[in-house]
Amino acid sequence: MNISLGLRTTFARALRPQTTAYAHCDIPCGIYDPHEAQLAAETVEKMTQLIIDLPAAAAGDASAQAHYSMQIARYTAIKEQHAERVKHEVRIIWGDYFNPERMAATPDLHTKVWNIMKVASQTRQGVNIDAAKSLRTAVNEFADIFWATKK
Amino acid sequence: MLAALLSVGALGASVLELRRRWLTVEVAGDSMVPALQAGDWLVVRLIEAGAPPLEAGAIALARDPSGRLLLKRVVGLPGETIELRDERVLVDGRPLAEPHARGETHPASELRTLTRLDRDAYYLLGDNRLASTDSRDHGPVRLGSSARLGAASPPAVEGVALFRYWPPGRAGRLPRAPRLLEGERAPSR
Repeated sequence: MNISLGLRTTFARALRPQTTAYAHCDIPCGIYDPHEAQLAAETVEKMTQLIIDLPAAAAGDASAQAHYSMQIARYTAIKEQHAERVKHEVRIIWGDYFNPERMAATPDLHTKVWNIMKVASQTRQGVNIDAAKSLRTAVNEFADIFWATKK
Repeated sequence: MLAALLSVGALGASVLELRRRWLTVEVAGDSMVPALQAGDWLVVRLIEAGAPPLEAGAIALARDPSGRLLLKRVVGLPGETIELRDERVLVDGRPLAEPHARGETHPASELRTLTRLDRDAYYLLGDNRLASTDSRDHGPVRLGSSARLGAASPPAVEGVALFRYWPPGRAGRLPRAPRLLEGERAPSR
């Protein structure tokens, strides 16, 4: 009886793995990081301001007008891109990272995220510096909420 | 009597030989889900000098810069260009199908989306893309030899996981996930 138990223990010990290998993830591993969204929101505000500040080309100066149109197109393209990036990055954190437990301190998180989506769209639809500023504020607040769950 | 002594000696020698060539490991973490689960016990064949190159789709045992052993899927082979674009993996410009992978493949940084692999370098990714730290963070790894196995050795692929022997219900050979380019079909066997 003892021998059989001893054999079994020896057998189990022989089978036990020699070491541990990690199929792991160091969170935050670049995926759950609101920094990208914050940078993108700042870019949206910056581009909106650049569009507002760009002096109009003199009437009749075709070359200056072409340059003006090109600049506006560039600023607008970047504004579009980064507003969309804000929405993308926030959606990932909201959808993949947050769960009921992490939302406990912020029960109205869904409303806040929904608001970010709406305001980000407003920054795309017009040259709206107020919307751009409130987008930046809202995204910074979202980042604070995210980091608070890490404490 | 002599024969008995000889066979005991041979057994001892072969056990030592096995220890040199094979390693058993317990899986920790979820980055290779669903292929590997935390708590699985695996048999890993260690890489020896002059070992044949790794195959795409194999599960490699590699050491990260901190000296920790990681289990990740071989995605890129020596000489290839790996690009992470639109949440996908592209090999030499062609997107992979990757039915075994989960979640979108995001680069660790928007500035590090393109990797050209040296003659002896491999690109490794966890199957569970949203929860894996791998070549996106640590860069590509070279093939190492088990002779250098130890915390002091540089980051390298040190083995290939071949079998799962625990739990019994999922024991068996670990299937190599064939690497498929978009539109290609799995080879029928």
